[in-house]
Amino acid sequence: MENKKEEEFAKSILSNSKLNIENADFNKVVMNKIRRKNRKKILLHNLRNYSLIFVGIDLLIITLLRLLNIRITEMSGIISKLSLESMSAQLFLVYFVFLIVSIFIIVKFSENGYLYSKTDRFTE
Amino acid sequence: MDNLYIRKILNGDYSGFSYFIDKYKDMAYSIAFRILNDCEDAEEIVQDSFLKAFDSLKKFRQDSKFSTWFYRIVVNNALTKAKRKKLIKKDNDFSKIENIEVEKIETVYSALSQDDRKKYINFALDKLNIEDRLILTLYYLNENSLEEIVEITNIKRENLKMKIHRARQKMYLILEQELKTEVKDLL
Repeated sequence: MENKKEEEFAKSILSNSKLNIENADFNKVVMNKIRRKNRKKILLHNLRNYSLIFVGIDLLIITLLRLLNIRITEMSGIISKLSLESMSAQLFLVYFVFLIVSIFIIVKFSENGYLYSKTDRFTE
Repeated sequence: MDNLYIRKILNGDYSGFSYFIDKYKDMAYSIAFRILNDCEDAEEIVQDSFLKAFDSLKKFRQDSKFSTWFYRIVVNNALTKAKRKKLIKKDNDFSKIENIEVEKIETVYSALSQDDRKKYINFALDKLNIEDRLILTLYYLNENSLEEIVEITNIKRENLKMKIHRARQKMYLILEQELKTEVKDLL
């Protein structure tokens, strides 16, 4: 009985400890941040899709050229000095690096998972 | 109602998230403030927690209340910040907590003005350690059930009741000491 009384008293005194956010624009600030984040997400999503399509088409062209045994050796300018093999090797390298960097950036920016710590968090 | 808004947001209408901000911001702020003891830090943590909740909403399985899930994010964020700022300290000496005369405290406390009550309760909470402040806030102010507090704080269920009791007694002890002059005046 006494315990219940103490509980009631604790409830009544702690009701005086509620705090309110005094920033009137708090709601607006959070919603603006969400909007910005959402826009960034959409942008990154599109960027990833377009890069994949771009890389895919280029790889397809190179594969087709190799399959059809087309050689680009009698052209004028700088490109005439390059054989198709060395060009494709360079393109492969450039796109491979590009792909790795894009994947890294996309993964980094789209990390939205929340980790729940299972350790005792009240001790140092 | 919460589930309705969650569905709305997951269907692409993220403006519905302002409903959650309106509903939970003050309690989240109270929780964060009780951990960090700093207005600006607490507000920043609440903002950050709302963003994390929005990002992770897809992962919310709805087997608990949104509030429980959200307050857990707030507590995790605030505790991480408290650890970074080295705010987690050893407990004060509360060896006399069994001999408290709660009725006396109640008499004096009820004679205080509203502003003084706030002042004293904030002072008493300030003297407690983070864990005690947090469980008192969740249990008595927000009226969370024991199961919800276990989920929010990760404290073991079997220890929780005792921890709440001890935290309450510690708070009474601090209040008793602080209200001593008022008690003398009244007696």
